[in-house]
Amino acid sequence: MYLFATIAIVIAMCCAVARAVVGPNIFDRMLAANTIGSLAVLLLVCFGFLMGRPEWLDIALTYGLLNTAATLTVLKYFRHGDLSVDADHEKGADDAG
Amino acid sequence: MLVDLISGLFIGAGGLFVLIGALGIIRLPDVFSRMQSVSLIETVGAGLLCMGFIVKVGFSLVGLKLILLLTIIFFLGPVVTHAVAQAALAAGVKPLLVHDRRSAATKADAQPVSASVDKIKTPNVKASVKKAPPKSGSKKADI
Repeated sequence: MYLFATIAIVIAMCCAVARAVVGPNIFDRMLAANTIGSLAVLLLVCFGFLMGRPEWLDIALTYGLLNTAATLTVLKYFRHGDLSVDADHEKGADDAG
Repeated sequence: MLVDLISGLFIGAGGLFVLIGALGIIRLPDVFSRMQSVSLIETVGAGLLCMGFIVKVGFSLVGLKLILLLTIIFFLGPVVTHAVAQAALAAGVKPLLVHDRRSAATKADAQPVSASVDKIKTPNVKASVKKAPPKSGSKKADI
């Protein structure tokens, strides 16, 4: 059953890579990149249990945190065009309306 | 053994949900509908897989790390998905809906339905990103 889960995650990762290549705009590609990162975390867990070494979970934890931070940073850059913008004090830039 | 049976059931269901989410990533027509299948992978798929492994290893250090990993994926995945949706709406990507149900509740919906039905006829994913609204950014990002 570990093998089935690993193969399923690899197939899902191939689909996400195809969407990242085909994807018509930047947000499709960002979504696909985030999906690839989450699936890589799950693949590390499954592969660790498949090989009998579940100590790889530390790497999975680190990779999960880094993936989220990287995706949020790139999204902030593409939304504001600048990484040092203060979105809370910018008038009318939020989606309140 | 019972533990192996239960964990195998959870892991198999998790792999199945991951496959369904991958099919949705390929097949769905829009950014906003692809987010739905991505969140299917990140909540149900990852949740069932980690549940299966937690049942397998029991209460140990590995189980604690799995609970931590499950918490991270379960809470940070929807945060990233929401950020992608907000950035896409701010950049002017239109969702491929037939009509907006919020506006249909308040006013007559003849005009927006007919205006957006012919957009539905060609759901070829050339959802061209219009340029950013002029208030939001100083420099326009080259999308």
